[in-house]
Amino acid sequence: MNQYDAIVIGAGHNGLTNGAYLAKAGLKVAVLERNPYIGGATVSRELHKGWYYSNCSYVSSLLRPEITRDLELPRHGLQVVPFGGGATFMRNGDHFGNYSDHDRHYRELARHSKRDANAYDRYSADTSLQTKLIRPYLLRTPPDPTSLKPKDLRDLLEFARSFMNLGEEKLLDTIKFWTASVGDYLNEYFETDVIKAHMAGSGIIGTALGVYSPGTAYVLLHHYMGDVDGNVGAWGFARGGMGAIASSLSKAFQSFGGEIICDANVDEIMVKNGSVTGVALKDGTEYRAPVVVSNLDPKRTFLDIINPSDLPKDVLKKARNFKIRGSSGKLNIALDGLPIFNGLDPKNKLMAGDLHFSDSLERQERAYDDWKAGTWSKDPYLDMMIPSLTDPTMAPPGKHMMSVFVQYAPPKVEGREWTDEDKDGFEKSVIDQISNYSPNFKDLILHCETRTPREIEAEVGLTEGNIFMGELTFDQLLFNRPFPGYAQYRGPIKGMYMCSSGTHPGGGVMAAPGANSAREILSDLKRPNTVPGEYADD
Amino acid sequence: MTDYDAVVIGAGHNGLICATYLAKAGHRVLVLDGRSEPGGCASTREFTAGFKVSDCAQWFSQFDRSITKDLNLHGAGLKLSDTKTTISLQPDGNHLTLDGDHIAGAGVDPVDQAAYREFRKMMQRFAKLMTHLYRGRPPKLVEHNWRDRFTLMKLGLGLKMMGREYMRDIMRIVMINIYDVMNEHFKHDALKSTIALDAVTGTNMGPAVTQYRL
Repeated sequence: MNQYDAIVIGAGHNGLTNGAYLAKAGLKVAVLERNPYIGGATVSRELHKGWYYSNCSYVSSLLRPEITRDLELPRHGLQVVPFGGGATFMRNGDHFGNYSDHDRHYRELARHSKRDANAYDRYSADTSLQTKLIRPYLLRTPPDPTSLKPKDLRDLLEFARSFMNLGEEKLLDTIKFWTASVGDYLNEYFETDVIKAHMAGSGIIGTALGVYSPGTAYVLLHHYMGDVDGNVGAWGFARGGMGAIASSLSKAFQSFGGEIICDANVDEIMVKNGSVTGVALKDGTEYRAPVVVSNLDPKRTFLDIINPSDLPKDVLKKARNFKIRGSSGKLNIALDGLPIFNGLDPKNKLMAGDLHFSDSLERQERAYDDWKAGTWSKDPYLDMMIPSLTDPTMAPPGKHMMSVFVQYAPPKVEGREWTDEDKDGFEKSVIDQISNYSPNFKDLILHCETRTPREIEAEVGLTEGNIFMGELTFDQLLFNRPFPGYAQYRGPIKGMYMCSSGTHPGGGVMAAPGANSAREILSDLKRPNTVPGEYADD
Repeated sequence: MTDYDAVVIGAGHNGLICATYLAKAGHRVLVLDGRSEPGGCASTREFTAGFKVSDCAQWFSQFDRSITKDLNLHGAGLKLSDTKTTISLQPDGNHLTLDGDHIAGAGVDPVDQAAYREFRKMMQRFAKLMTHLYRGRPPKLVEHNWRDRFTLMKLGLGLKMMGREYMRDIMRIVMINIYDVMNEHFKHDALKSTIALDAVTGTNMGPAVTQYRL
């Protein structure tokens, strides 16, 4: 009997989190997954014998610690190992190193510019103020500013008060920060190209915007607001790859009696008399439930798996206008050994961090120009990692696994679909970029998986290959995510909910949308809440 | 004699208006300008014998009409022509004209024509909300006095009074770039670019990165 209390569509980290909290409250829950494996964009795949690729998301920081602890994910096998370091290699053979040690970092900054070294603490303090402001709102449902319900008014007032408490000057800084471009924001603190470029990367990763586009300073914050073991701003590798996150969540979900069904490709959410009744698969199988939660992005949810006649007109229009633009690609590479980079001792710990090759904002903006013209960047911005330096289980002994996130890659090439030749051209521009700084790199390549937005969309189901399931610009954040009027996880049909990264607080393997959505569902069902509240920061 | 109550630096339109109000209140005011003629960006120059050009600013649209009346600028010689039609020239000669709510030419279909009327209605709503903000000093957000508080309350109330959908629209649209707004509303390329021109004029940003300008 295919009857459940709730069905979640999509076994990514948010779907599994959502399912886990619903099951914990005693509901009979099934999570349906289209692929033969779970995880969505949080996977580890052995695509070359002996090597494990986190072939979509590749680092962890934003995963809410409240959820990690509450669902006892470490007991279910999750271990996040922080990494330090990182560097931007320069065209002149020098580099800028991102040292974890404060004093060592100061000396490195000062080697490039004394003034920038002295500005760094001010920059850190200002940015961490923004982090502190946003963190308490991650595990909460955004209030609706047009609503007059007591809960919304109370939340709005609290929200307003936390801003007012900043004082006039800091509040104006905050407004500026939330609307500024990452380029303008960094220009206020630093003068050195390579230093600005090293930091600006976090402002453009995953977005179809350039370093000088308004709104990208927030994207920077989005990458700073996580933590590893309470260390705010730190990033880490999930041991065994990002699939370890999905795997531990699935075990937590199953420990509460939840059921995962793979190879279940949903065709339609069934609706009768204005309420959902379940889902129908493409193969004709039906699963019935009074609650259906979509972990697909808003476009797929409203335009692909719901009959348009079941939706209000405004929702269709809003879903069509939802900005979810492909902007990035990825190369996962099996290496025969460790590549050597010009000017950096391979034993230097910087190698274990994020490595880049764009040494100025100008070059990053030019890379965006290519995207606007409908082609992949010829001088791409790369966020490159060698996870096997930190987690040796990713590759056989002595070998290495390299993950290269590439910005920019358009969803379509000059208006047409990607071809295999385009994909080869894209791959070549990335490999050439790395080879420019690493003489032995090309000879070490044993296997390379190249993913353009075409592959990401086809294999993972992210529309246009957008990693955040929708741009992180203010018109699509907080009470505007995914769109105004539907930002509290409830869909326009009774019993239909959303829990994907397309809802507040957005993408980045946070699991917060899944948890927030579960809290709202349980409240509608008048069940006791199982979702933890946010921890207080210091 | 070089003793004044107030000295205004720059005889552009803002300097002159500021000085006029001060003088009107009985102060002794001096306006200084680096050029030989007053006007700044709002001046006319004879660039060759018999031909005159608006030296810098070329349109007269955002000027606060309450000041025109208040300072009796018409009495002092200001004459305004009728509102001009916007024409976007097309290579095939079928030009696009925008005149108030009315659109003609360039094969703009009735769907886009209706969308344009809706769009203008929305813009006018938003503009009305913004206009009263232009007529006062920007309110302080935390250290406000009663006047700032009143401005903020009026803005909040104005937002609420727009109705739920308009309020939602404006809170989304202020943060969005004109490229997306045009694509959300219209299909016709020349129409989109004609309207978008106002959003990029004078900024160093392109349409895909420009935030909304009313």
